[in-house]
Amino acid sequence: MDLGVVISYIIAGILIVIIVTVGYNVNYSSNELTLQETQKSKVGAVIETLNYDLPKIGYNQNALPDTLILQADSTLISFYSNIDNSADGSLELITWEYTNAEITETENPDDHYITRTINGITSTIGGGITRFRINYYDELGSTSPLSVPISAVSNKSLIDSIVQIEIIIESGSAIGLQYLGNTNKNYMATAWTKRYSPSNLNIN
Amino acid sequence: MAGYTELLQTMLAMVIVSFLVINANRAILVNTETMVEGELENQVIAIAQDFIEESRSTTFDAETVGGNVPVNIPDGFSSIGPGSGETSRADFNDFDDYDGWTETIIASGGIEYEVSIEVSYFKNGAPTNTKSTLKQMTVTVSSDDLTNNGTTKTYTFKFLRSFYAD
Repeated sequence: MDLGVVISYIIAGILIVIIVTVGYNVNYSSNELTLQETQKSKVGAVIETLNYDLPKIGYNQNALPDTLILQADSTLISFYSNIDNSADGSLELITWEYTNAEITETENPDDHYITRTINGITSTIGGGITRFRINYYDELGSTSPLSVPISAVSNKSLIDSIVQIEIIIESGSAIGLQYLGNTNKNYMATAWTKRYSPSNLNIN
Repeated sequence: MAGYTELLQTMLAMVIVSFLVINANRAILVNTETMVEGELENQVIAIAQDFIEESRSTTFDAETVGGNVPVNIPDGFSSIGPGSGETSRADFNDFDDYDGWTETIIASGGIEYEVSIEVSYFKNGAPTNTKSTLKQMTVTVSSDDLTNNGTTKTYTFKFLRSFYAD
């Protein structure tokens, strides 16, 4: 066989491998983008609910409740608010908690449920949350979080000193992507941090 | 020359495939940039909201701290800027104390965001030096990790606060 033909076959083979690899990479990248956007919208739903609840800590129509935050921990916060704005001024006890319960419906081994409990009625929030951390600060802009847990029952003065609450959320996609020849699955992650300054915690 | 025609054709195919690979890599790069930029921009918004919400939790003016109200409104309001001894966010007790504040915030992933804040009185649809019952806060956030053709992008957020809406 002619040398030119042999070289042509070799190059053609290499080109086919390149085309297949490039196609695979583009597909993988598109999947990454899709999974991350899906994850962002899931986390967005959690953030929206947090944005609704946390600024209303201690809210009531006429007077502040005596206890605003009942319990403060790294993965749990329990506070009072007239969240339904009822005319009778009755307060609801709202608890957000990052549970140990793993979400079994997803491939991701690190995602857990968040629960939002209002007056004993619990609703579960999935969304693939892999980390949910709450920090509490007794000064605006402070970088040193208070030691937790803090309870209004045992240390009311300390829990009343909280003026800012920082929420750190990390989430991972439900489905893992596996790159060619790699045994580990890659879960698309998204992270979000926000510091809330509920006006009732900082009455001037 | 037999066989060399095929070689030439193969080389031509290589050129075509090269263009394909370049375009595909460009698409992957755009995807990655979109992912990272979207993630960081979400954090930029959260940081700006942090400062706006924090400033909202303080009083409208230094003269209204503790529930006081000046006799003459708006002339009785204070000048824009932090009062004496107010050097940190922990000292700030009114909205315009944040004027001139700059800070580097380190968020998730160790990404640094530069924050700068300006506060001014606001009247007739524009910032003004004349005292009024409206104040505007402008929060500017930027990060070296958010660039456009090598130039750092800046994100500006404005918040208008009314004395009467407090």
